[in-house]
Amino acid sequence: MKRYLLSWIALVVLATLSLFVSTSGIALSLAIATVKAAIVAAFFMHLWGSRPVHRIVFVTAVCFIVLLILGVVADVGTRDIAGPYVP
Amino acid sequence: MIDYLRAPSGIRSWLGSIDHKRIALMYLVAVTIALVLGGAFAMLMRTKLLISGPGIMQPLTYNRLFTWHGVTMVFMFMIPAIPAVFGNFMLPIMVGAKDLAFPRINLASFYVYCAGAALALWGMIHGGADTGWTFYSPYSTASPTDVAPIAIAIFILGVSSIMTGLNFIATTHMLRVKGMRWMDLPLFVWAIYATSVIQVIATPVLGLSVTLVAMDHALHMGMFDPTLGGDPVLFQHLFWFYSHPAVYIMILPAMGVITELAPTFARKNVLSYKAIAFSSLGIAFVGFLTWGHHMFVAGISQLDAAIFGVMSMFVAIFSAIKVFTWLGTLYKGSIALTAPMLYFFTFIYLFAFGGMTGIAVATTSLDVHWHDTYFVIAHFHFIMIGGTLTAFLAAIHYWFPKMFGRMYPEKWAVLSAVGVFVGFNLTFVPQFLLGNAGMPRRYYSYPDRYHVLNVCSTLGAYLLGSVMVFTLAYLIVALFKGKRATANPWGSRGFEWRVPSPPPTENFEAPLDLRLGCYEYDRE
Amino acid sequence: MSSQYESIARQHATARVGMWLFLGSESMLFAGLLALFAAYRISYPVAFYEAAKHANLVLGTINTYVLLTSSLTVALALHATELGKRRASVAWLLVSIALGATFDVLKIVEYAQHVGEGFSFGHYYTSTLLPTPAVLYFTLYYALTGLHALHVTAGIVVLIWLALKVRRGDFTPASHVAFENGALYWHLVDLVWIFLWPLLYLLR
Repeated sequence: MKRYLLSWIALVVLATLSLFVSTSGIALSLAIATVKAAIVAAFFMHLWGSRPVHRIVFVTAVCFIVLLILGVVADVGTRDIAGPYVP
Repeated sequence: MIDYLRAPSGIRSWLGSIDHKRIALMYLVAVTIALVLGGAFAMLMRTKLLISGPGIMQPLTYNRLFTWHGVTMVFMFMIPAIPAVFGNFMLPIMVGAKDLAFPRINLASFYVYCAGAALALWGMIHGGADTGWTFYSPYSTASPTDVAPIAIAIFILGVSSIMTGLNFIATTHMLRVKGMRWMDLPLFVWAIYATSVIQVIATPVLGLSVTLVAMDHALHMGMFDPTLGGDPVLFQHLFWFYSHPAVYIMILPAMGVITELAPTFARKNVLSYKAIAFSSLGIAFVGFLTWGHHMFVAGISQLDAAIFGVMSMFVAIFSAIKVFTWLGTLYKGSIALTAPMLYFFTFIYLFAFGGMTGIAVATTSLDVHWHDTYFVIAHFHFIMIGGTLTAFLAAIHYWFPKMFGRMYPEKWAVLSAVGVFVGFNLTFVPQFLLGNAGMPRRYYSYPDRYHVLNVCSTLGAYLLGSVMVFTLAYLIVALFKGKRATANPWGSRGFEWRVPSPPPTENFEAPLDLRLGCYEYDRE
Repeated sequence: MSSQYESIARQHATARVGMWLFLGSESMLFAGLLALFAAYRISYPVAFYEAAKHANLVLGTINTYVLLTSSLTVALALHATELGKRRASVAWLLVSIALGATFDVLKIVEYAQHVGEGFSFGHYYTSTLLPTPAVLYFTLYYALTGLHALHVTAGIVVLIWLALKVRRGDFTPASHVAFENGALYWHLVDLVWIFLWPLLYLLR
């Protein structure tokens, strides 16, 4: 019970912090979002202290989301420096 | 004990059954219809290609046919066939369970499949689509045909696939009989498990990409529209992120079947259990790192192309590990040349050849020449027909006695296996030559110099199609007239052969005895 | 209990594993849209920067607090059922449903406001204020938040179903795995928004 309330307070504080640092760039905002997500996953979704297979599924999904984004960005982001093949 | 086929009786007890074995058979009927339909589309295409110029059918019809052939074969046959039929039937028995983790979700997955298939067929009758099964933007957005219904149908078929995969993963983790560790599992289970991970992770991305195409076409969403600054190549990224791992959904279960055949018909333990088990996971994982090799000439950056080219080389390592392990399993074994084993050897030969041509087209500089030619078509048909369909045929023969309690006619099956091999090679070897000589794929007409090879390919297709019809015929006859089978006609150590043929509804009359492993042929 | 399970505990544990697999699959749906957002953001940094200025930061931020709080109330509702406190559980579920509905209503208000300003999606985009590729920001905005709102709405349906089950007495402190799984779904919906909010609203 206390765990939930403390988590919620942390989430609200972090969200408010995001508002104030939003001008410092997207990376910082996303980093704060990652911390918030970890709190929701660990405490609200009970990943902390449940079966290992739950954590494996969660981490696996995260890895593949990152993989897809990276693969696409690796293309779009490097077309200026290493453009597409032109015969 | 009454077997699962006989009790309970009545059509409603089948259509509403949550028994994994009955659901497997319903899937078998459905995917067989899909195979026949997809095959019919192919026969029509090959008939047009008997002549080099216009005639026999309209160009738009031809474009529709290759689209429907791809959609039907990939999403209604290749993806579900081995998992939803043999995975469904065998997985619970192989882990010592009475059913899957979620039997009602299993039945629901079948009806979702039917809904998706029905929508796809309705979309085809309605005149859609002519984009190819790959739905590339911007043509898929601009096509005058009705793209959205088939695209949404693929989404629905994907949902069925996810439900199946989810069920298999949960079953493997949670329903293994007491005392069965991961390293005691039959290797077919490892193959199905690896396949299921791909299904659960990759399929949603396909669902998203076809939904975006449907919305672009029907609602002018403009996600990939160049006039609004959109990038059509991004569709290809999303599409292939699923569709490359999808080919591993198609081949991993096939490899699982092959792995079951080798120990049984050589009466020898698998050369290396861990090699097969871990290479299945390896293929599933590395298969996700290679999708860009479908896009080498699409306009991606050369850096991205280089990365994907290198990654594509790695996945072959795991396939090679398997091929050598299978051959090593046979070495010094006591080999029985039954029909399933003829399909085994067909698989080894055609898969190895097809796999090597895969490495060839994954070589960026070479793909520049071969991309979008018949070389690529030949490559993937070697894997899909020579690999997956061959293994599917092997499986239906191997497990026929278990599933139906009857034997198929061995002489007809041997004849059929030879016919498949000959027909297949006559159809697709010319296509390697055509592609290398420059004939593009998805072309309605072609220059006269490609004529002879096209005629040869079409005649091979007619032979292959005839043999397939013949196979279906004798298997159906065997259902009713086949010799009654014993529990273990092959003398296999596999777990599924320790229950009656056909099995009772709850699979086991007594719990599985794990003291004898499923590949232990060196002791009694 | 189904016959393939050795115990009801095993059946419940399997249901939880199944739910996590489903959530893993659902999150891949958003992966593709996030990849598109990243790609277009990299291709058109100025257009996206300018477009994001027209995002309604006030409504978006209120919605963030609404969802974060709804995760708390759902967790409290589940906790009450674990303690056998039926009425408290239903009450917290009703608060959660109200918060979820608030989210959906505010989203509709935001959409209406954007459409009114000409910031629709794709070929319905009529505004001339911004460089052309800015339309992609809005197309992705509608796609991402629309897909998310669909999940919120489905989540509300799940919460209503759970409330009815709690009232009927279907759950006991020992047996309430459907509630656990429904709560997990709601938390995933919150989790997705945790990332959508900075990406769409804090791009400045």
